[in-house]
Amino acid sequence: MSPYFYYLATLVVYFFIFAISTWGLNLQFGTAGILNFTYITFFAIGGYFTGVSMMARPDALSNMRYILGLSLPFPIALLIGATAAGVLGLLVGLVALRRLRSDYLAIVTIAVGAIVYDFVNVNTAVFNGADGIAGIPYPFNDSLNLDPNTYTFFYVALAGLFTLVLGILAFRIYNSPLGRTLRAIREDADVASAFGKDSYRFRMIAMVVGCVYAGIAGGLLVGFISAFSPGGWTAGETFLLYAALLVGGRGNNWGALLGAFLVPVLFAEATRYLPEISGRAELIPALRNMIVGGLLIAVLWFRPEGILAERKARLTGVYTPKRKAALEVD
Amino acid sequence: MISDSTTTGPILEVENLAYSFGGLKAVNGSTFTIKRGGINALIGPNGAGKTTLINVVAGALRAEAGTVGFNGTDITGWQSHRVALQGLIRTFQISRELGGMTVLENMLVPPPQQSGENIFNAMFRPGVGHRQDQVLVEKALARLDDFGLYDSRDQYARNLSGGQKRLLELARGLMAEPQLMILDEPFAGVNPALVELLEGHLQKLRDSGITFVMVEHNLNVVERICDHVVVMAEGRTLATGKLSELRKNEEVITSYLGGALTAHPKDTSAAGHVVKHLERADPILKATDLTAGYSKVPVIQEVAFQAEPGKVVAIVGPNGAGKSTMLKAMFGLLRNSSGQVNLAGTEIAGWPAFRIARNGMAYVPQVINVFPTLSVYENLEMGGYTLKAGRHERVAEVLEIFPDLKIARAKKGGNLSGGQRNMLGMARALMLNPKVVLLDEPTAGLSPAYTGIVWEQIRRVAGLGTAVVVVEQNVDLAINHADWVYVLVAGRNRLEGPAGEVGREDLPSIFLGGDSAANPIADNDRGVKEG
Repeated sequence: MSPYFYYLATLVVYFFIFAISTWGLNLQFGTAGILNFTYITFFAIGGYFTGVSMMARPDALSNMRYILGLSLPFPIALLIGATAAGVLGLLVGLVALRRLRSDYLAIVTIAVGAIVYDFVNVNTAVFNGADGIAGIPYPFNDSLNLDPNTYTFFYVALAGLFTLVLGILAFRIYNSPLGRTLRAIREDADVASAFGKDSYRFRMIAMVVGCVYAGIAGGLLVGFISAFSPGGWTAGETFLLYAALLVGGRGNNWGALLGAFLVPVLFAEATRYLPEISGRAELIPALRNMIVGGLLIAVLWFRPEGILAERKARLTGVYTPKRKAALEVD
Repeated sequence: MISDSTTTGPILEVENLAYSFGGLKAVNGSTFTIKRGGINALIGPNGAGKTTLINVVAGALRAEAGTVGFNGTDITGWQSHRVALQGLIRTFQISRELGGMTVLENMLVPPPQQSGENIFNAMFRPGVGHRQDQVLVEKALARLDDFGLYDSRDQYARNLSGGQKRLLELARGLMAEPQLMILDEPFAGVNPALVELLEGHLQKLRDSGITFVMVEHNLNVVERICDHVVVMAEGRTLATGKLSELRKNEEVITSYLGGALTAHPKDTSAAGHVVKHLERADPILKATDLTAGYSKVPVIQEVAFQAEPGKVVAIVGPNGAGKSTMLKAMFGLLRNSSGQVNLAGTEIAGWPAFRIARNGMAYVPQVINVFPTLSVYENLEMGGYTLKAGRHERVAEVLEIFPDLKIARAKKGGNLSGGQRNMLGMARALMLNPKVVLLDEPTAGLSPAYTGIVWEQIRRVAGLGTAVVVVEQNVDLAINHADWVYVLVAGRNRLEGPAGEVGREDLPSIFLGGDSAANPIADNDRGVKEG
């Protein structure tokens, strides 16, 4: 098979991983109105814990130092990764969600992101510090024994399965009474409280479930690239996901999917094909960010609700009005 | 004491409840009981603490002292969602529709015990929530039909008109299956033609077993549908009983008119100013046929008004009479206004506020925004921002008028007392040496002593040749200090005259109802215009 196909398959895997992440962000920000400015941290935590759960104990010969090293199969490792992300989400929520003001939460999340980043970066005993970890076993490949190219296509199917299941669940949550209550809290938390909705508890649910989505996406990425380092989890990555959600359409899971395709995959990857300018290697990545930023501004200017705006809920009943339009209300 | 019975005792028992904002005691030892069944009114002048009381009872604010008993349970200090789940539902004074959701969705948020709100059910058993929704949708549609909102069911709630939002507020609250509903001004902004319909609904709902407590300013509505009335003033419960009895209650009359109506001021007011003059001089500000409002429902209608240089003209009237609206309309802050406004010979109707300000009118709103980190002096400089030269001289001149501010000129705006803040607002407005100053309730929330000082300053400003227009809650103060008084009722001119002569005998009935002209519906029919 040509390397072109191989590259395309890689992009599809990235697309799936970004789709899952953007859905989780859509649950938090698009649905419940939670401004989580360190979403990528939960993605990273999910990836880390998935990775170190799959790896064997660090041996003396290797330079890498990390915790766990449980040699667990991928599904269980991913479960651990997702749980770790969820637990961290719960902890952050405990601190930040008590206050209803979303700006307060945003500041707390920025602080948490900085703390986690520094902790992981500096404390080499936990995740090998800034060097990160390499050589994570490929999920299921100890029994499959596929060559790298074929394995990529296997991973498309694996990530696709997760995307399908998590996608269905994301749509279900959004369309459920839970989704409705979350949107009510997003619109006006005081009103929701006045109707007996415990805003704190509901936002906590959105926070934790959204972080679990991030954790699963992180685990899938680590399984795919077999390595991680803190340098990949900076605030810019969170920005990329927000850009995806805002461009695609917040509050709309189809929009999140479209955004995940357009922003991190199409625009970010397409810039790779721009001819390199000799002696200016840094220009292309910079261009990537400029294009994403420009796209975001253009969408916010011309279509602030995103390309696929949040849809009106269509609820129908069998009730027939007693006196249809008999009243002129102005 | 909170009674222990949950079925026969009173549904709401409020005892010695207190809450303050900073130094202002908004609710200050309020005590009253609401019996099961019936529509109860909570009335009182502006600033009596009615909305704060609702917020404390419903758990949006935490009581500083006192207890709230609901259905025999002590709910003091409970968070609002817990209070709501007990069956006590409140509505908001300013409609709080969930704008990004449809009207029907707004209706589906309140019902308690929705199993589809469980995350497990939402993810793995979506049918549970959908089946329950089907039942709720039927209920909601029937309710919407009752309130004339059926055809708007699939609209975004933010696109409803102001009146429709009021209706949704009430209809939505009912979806929470309340035992007690506290309504904060349910009729405010509702088209008069709909008021009667709403009254009918409330009565029907009462007969079905829901107890209502409503804050209402239109005492004719209270008279028609309320069984029991609680009067609040200055954070306390002043009296309870039937409206017909309360109308005769001296304390209640006093609270509404602000201080006992003293004997006619003779020729001289407390501030030593000659009040009496029957002929009016040439006006510097004159409004004719002024009609204005916020949405399609006009708040003031065909109002006539004028103010002369060097005089203080007061606008008084019951709550909701349109006093503040009138100032805003003259100052160009309302879009939907018609009629003529003439300022010093120039027709200014339809002008934007900044242009009116440049032409010599100043407006001091009810809530004054001072720059909290700037000193009094700097705040005044900001007020004279557009002065090309002589800004410091002007600040000095203005400070001469306000000796209190002169002393406090280095103080930060954020550290001023309420009274000083009001003064600063006034002083800042004077920086550009306006021909006309509009003051919206400059004495609201001030102690009686400081109120006197503020009025002295107002007189002093007028003494320098400026026309001062003051909206005043306290009728007594207005009569004692102003030169000319306008009484507005339900958005129309009701009375006017020299401050010393304006119909003192009529005022209690105007403010406490029992007077058909206070009824907006009757008003619309007859087009009452006196004075």
